[in-house]
Amino acid sequence: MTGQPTPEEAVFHAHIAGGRYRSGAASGRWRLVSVTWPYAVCTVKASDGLDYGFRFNCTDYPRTPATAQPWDVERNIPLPADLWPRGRSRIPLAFNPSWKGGACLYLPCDRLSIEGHEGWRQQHPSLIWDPAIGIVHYLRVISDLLNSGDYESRHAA
Amino acid sequence: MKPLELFIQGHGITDIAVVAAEPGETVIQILAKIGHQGHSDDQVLIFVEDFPTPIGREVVIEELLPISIEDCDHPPLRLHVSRCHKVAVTVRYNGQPMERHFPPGATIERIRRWSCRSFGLTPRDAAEHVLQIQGTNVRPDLDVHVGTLTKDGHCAVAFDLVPCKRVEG
Repeated sequence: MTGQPTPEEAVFHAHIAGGRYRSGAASGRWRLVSVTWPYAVCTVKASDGLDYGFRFNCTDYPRTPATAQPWDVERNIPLPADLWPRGRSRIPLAFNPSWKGGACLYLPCDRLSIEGHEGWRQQHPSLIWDPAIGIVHYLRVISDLLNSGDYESRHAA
Repeated sequence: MKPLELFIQGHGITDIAVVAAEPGETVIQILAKIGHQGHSDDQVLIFVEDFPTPIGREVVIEELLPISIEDCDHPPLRLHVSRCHKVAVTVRYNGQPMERHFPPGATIERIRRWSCRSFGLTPRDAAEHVLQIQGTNVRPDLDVHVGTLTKDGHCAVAFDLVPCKRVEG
């Protein structure tokens, strides 16, 4: 049954329809795979051409930050830890399968990770969730990491 | 012929405007579609992203495409509308400023790469530095046109080149 989208879902779709999201999508930086509210699955392209999937839990969007879990888009399951992005410094901190059992990314824009890290608001203001652009900001943060000098492809399959 | 998707940034445009355009439409007709004052104001200049000189107002969209419009793989056409002919860009790194003029449709990524080269950063270090608007915490996304960051008719923008910090603690 297809019903009216909730106000939260409507805001999400407005952000996806906006120029900031579509500009990145047109450049191949990210792609929306599916939406089963409150979940949205997107891929983000890394500098080596790999597309990493992420499932965003967008409950109470955009007032409350989303939380993103690395996701196997083909099998529709959490991405096995050995396939998470690999790097030298910032990447292994942000993409840490041991943090909260691999349920989220260790980033200030993530709902689960910002809890208990109030100091991040002063230390990393540019990485704090921005409800005005919501998911687009989170996708930018991931895209920047996966295209940074710190990224070293993925763990061996 | 299929409609094309145009991305337009500049003065008077919030976000990035996305416009469906027919290949035979002129730039002015596109601006009129989105209600931008530039369609009737000769002082408003129109640039193709990252190109140094403005284009004519009656240029047909099809003429701006690098390859056949029948080829779906061409990059999207990105335009910039501005009252600035150039933007004076200052980038400060380790207290040292570097200056250069850029067209208003220059992307943040282009300016970031120029500044990293100018300050002698290695490619690996360069990939770990971003531009931040001086006096703010704002780090514009790589596809933002520098002309959108000018204010009050002042065609200048100042950045700091800053390292990406580890998130820990």
